Amino acid sequence: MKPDRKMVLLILIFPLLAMLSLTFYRAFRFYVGENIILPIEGYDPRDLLRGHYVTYRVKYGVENLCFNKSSRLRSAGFVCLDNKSFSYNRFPNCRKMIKGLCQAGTFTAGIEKFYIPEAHGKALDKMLRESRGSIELSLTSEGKAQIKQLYIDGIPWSEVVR
Amino acid sequence: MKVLEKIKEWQDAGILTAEQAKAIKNYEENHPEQNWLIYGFLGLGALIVAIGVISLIAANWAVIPAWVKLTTHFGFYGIFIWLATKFFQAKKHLYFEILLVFLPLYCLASIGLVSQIYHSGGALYQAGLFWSLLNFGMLFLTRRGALPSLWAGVFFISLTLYAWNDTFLKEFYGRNLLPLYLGLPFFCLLFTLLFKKWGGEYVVTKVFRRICFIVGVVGLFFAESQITYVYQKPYLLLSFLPSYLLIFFGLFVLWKSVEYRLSQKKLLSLLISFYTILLHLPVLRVDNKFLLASISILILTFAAIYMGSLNYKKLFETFLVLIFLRFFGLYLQALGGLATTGIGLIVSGLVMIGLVLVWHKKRQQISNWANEVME
Repeated sequence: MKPDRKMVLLILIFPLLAMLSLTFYRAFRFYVGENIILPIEGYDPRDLLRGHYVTYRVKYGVENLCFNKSSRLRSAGFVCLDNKSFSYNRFPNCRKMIKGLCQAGTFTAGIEKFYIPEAHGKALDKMLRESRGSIELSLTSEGKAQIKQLYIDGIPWSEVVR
Repeated sequence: MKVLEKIKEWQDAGILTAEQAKAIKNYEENHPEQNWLIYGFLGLGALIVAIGVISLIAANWAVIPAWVKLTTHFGFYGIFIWLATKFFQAKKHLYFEILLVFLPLYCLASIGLVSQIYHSGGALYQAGLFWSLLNFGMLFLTRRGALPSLWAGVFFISLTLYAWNDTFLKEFYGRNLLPLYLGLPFFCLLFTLLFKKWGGEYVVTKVFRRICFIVGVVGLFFAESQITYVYQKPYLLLSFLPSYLLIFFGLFVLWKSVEYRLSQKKLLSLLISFYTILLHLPVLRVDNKFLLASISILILTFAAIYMGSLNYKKLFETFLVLIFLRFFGLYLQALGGLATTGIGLIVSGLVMIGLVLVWHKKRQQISNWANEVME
């Protein structure tokens, strides 16, 4: 079977449309959600910086994150920032909720990486180890979080390293 | 200049007449050399400009607003697609094919850019699988081998890493890739059949058929390298089930096909049977390295004969090399400690040289023999 012009255009444009949809979805989450700021800390001082991004642990201020689950399999978990609590079920009346995954006792919500230019890696690495960092998140009502900004001592990272 | 010296030599030897020599000298002095020089410098200049532009962008990457990066990137994406459709319409196949390879790579860059701007997580294999899904359609447009090879490489490597890292599959396979690799060549066969239905016996079908064999060879490698590791793990027979279904499907298609000779069907069935046995040895608790090596060599021999019967000379020779390498590995395994000594290394080197010489001298005869066996 020989492809015609229409088919060629459809096949070629499909990845572009998919990528544009993904971008708009990310942008929507970026601009539309409710903004919150959470402190962060380096969870592994030997490997805080991996290439062009920094990794960290978010301090939710919740004591019993991913409690009583020893399974290696991932399961969904929810953090409610209103009353600083955790549950494996969705909170019905929580205004600021983050949806994530529990695996081997660790809670991740896809917000544990921040991309930075490599040249500023070492400086930021040091500051994050000193627990001076925090991240700004955009939260949707379904609990999906999107990183907006990385702060050092409350100032955007790009201004600190300038 | 070497060519001019050669012309004089040929003229002195009476091979060229004075007129011919003059004509060649004129051509060489005025036309191609100059063009190569001009094109070379033009290309170098363009490359330097491109590197300069990339450096400027890279140096100011952090200060370029996200919307500028995204708009420019997707704007160019649109332009490249428009260009590709224009080349397709104008039947400029070479340019169209170049863009067919370039566009998926550009798509990969898009995934990276969006991840970077919106700080999204995710492993590389997830990006690989997402990319494979988005660009699968391109395989129906290409008439060259580069894109299917690239796509299949990314897809099968990402799939392997996915099975290795994803929590559900990690639990299902018990971090043991043998059940997965038992079925993967037959999963690859599904793609081959799809492309065959689409375009007949064209380049993408052929590339995928070869990739199925390559995936199988990777399976052999896993079977041999993981055997001791797997022994210590609790084994789930259930994890083999998807592969059994794919194997039955593969055998069904093979025996229903009218394109294969009976001898080819029997040979491929034998190959599949031994491949299945080999990847089950950990379950059967057979801890014999020589048995393992022997089955591997047998499978590779079947594959080589099959390739020879199809007149796929390069693949036939590749499988022969693999057989010799496996023999060499077996020899090293047999020697054990001695192989680490100087004598062992000298003997190993000589064996390798001997095998290569035999192969080089006899490969045509072996190829002919394979053809005769299948006739």
